[in-house]
Amino acid sequence: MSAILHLAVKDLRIELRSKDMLSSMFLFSLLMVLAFRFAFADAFASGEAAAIDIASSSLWICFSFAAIIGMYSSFVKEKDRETLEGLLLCPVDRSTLYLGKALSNLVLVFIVDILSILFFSLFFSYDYDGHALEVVAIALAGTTTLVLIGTLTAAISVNARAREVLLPILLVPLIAFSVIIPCVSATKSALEGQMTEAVREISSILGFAVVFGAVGYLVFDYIFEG
Amino acid sequence: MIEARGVAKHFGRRKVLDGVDLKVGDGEIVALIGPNGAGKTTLIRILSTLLSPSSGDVLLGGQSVREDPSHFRRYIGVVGHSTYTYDDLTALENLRFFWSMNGLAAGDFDECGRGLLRRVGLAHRMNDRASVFSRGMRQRLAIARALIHSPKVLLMDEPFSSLDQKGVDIVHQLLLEERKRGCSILLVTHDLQRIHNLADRADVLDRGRVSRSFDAEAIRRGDLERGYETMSEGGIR
Repeated sequence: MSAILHLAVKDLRIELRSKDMLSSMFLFSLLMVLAFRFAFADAFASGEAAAIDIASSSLWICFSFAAIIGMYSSFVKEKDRETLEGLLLCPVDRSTLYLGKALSNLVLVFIVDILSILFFSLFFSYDYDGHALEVVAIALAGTTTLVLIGTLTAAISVNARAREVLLPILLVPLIAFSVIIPCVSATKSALEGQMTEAVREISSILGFAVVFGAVGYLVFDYIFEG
Repeated sequence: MIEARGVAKHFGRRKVLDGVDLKVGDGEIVALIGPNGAGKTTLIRILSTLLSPSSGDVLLGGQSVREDPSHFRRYIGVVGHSTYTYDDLTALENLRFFWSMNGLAAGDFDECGRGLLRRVGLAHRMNDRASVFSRGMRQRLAIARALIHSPKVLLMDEPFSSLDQKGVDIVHQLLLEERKRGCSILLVTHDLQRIHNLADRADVLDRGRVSRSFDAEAIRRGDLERGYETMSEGGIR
């Protein structure tokens, strides 16, 4: 357990100093919300598109794609800076490395989630109808599942020649059904005040987190097998 | 003690190691030499558990490392071609991270970490980030990283590369101290003078096999130098 925390703290300390991932995820998220603002400007002004519909879908597009940018770098940086082997030489199970990386990814992606929620509120002048906390809770549940799947696929793709392409190819189909669709639905339910429905969706999202977390924990040893 | 028994490694059809037998006893420094592409780095990677052999086995203290590689990594320190250190962390933070990842008690770190940085001549730069270090200083930090958990086996691939004379002397002294502590040291180097001064034995790896072994006496007599000269002419005689 402590090795997981030490690895996550190391990653976060390096990220806070270099700001490589955070700055690109932050900019991407800001640009995405701005793009949605301009794309839906007329529909939003005329009332054709409701803020609830726009928020639930566009927020999750921002979260997911910002997360892909962040998770791609988590192993690629270790590989390119030739520190990955140093980690693999540590006397800990590979699954510990998986959970440590997933934890640091979760913190970074969740920070970007919060910023995206704020940007959306700012650019759409939308206060989430008093359900902002519920949206944050759904973001946390969905992001947990997202990083558990993303960290695993990032590790699988890190040694591939076309790793930039391979990660989204592996990740997007997996998260479409386990994260994006249920999270969009849960966010919409929460914004409409249908909490029972939202809780049901969150349960299924967390179920996927348990399944993918267990798969990652069990197979991670084999990913870096020489 | 670390031992390779009949270690072979294939990458696809290419056979890099072809039944290597090699043993490094406690408190022994064994130099591993050989031409480029002989398989020295692959052997170090297999001994350090980074790679699995295609056949054969690696024994540490008489036990196969295949049984529980993560457990055996606790006893192995590796200095590779890369330093494995983080540019955005200070020298002390780098060592603290690897100390923690080795499951050692946080309370004992300060004395050990600072002491080790003193031994490699980096005590005055312990709070500087590794990114501002010269290549030689990074190499010394890499050696401190490899020693942070007091390993029983030290695998060093060209540890003297990039070091200035002062750095070479520091690492030379460190190796002598580690040998005295009982550490088994496998040293890959092309520096015959260094082998002459340090090694208890020199094994020659050629075409994936240990083709010849020189004991301390043969090294002192200069047999190794003479044998090495013939290597480029088609192998050690």
